[in-house]
Amino acid sequence: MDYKKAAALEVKGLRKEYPGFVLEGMNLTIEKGKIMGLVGENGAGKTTAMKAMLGIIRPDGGAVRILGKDFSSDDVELKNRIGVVLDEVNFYETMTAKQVGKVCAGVFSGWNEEIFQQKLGRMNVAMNKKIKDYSKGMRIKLSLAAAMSHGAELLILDEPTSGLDPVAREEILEEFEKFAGEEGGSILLSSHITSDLERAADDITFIHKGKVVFTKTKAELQAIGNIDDIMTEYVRGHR
Amino acid sequence: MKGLILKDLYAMGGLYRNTLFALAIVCVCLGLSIGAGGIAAATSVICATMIVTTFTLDEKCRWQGFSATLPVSRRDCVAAKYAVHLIYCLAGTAVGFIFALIINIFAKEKMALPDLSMSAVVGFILGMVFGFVVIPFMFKFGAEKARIIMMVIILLPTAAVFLLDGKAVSFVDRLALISPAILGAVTAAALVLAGVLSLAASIKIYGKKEF
Repeated sequence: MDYKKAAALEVKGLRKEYPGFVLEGMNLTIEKGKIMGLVGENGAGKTTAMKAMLGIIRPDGGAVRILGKDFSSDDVELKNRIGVVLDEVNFYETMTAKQVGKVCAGVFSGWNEEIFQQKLGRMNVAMNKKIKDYSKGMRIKLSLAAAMSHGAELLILDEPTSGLDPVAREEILEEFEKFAGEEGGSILLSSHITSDLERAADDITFIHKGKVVFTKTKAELQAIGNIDDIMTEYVRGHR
Repeated sequence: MKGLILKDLYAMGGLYRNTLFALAIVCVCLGLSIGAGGIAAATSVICATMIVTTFTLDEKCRWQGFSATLPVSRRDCVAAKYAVHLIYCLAGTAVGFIFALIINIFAKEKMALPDLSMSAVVGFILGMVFGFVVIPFMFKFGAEKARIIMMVIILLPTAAVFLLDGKAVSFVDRLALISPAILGAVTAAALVLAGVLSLAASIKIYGKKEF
């Protein structure tokens, strides 16, 4: 496959079964330079889908291609080209941003400390403060800065704006737009806050009870109505 | 792997001062009763248990799931834990030896330096063995459940020594008859073998894990 033409993320028939829940044959494609919003109610399967894509949980079926390559969870080279935020922050709270930078420098081959510091500075995150003294917004910003400072071409972000005030959300959404627009990166972004997706995403995939209901461009969705109404109507009709 | 080792060393940062303080109190309270040699060995073993805390901190910040997304293999994640354990055991042995030297100054019956060194080495070996046994359980069951297993691991040999009483002492006496060079070589080989087996078990357990 021509690398330049390859999609940033291609998911085909991804399946994961738990007692009482099945992620069924998920298909998803994100083109380079695009932001895909993943939306669905609590328990719809957004986090399971992301974890299965990343090999954090073992899928029962399906295939994942990242940046034109078949993804395996032991593919260190490929994982150097993606950035992931799954929780508020996954570094222990006694650490400082400076220490997080040193850890990341020892993990990512393309780590750029200067970019990391620039991003933290732009988002007003203190370098020498302990994570436990950060606000929720600052913790997420630290995680994002860590995910975006090693030359990642694809970001996979689970609910990065949930629980943040509008100012912090705006700052983060601006970072996403800059990443996709100026840097040509791609993002898979799950969120409950549909206004964030309407603002930042190019395409939106709606997932319900482990099944993809639709993937539409923002323009297609806007022609039908707003995402909240479409989701609510669908969920009520399929209970 | 450097980043993974640094992560544990930094995450434990706030606890080093408290541990050192606690060790100093142990030395003051027990130093004269268990002697300088006892302090050297006990400090090493206490420091060896710090590896358990790194697993607790990992669970608190859901590190293991996140690390699966990083450009490190699961094998690297496991190897890093063993490297951190080795660092804590070496640091514990060094600190224990210093404490033991200080206690020795105030002790009525002074220990010779070679005997003191041997106590520190025994402490180091015990600390390493403790990690070799407990780390696979940590990967398998998580820190909280493995803590109970850790207690059993500490209590069983202690109980065995009490139950065997005189027999254990005569066993140690018989060991003393073996040439130190042979004893050292056999112990080192056994320690390396135990480490390799433990590492292999942990890699197998961690490789199958979902987060």
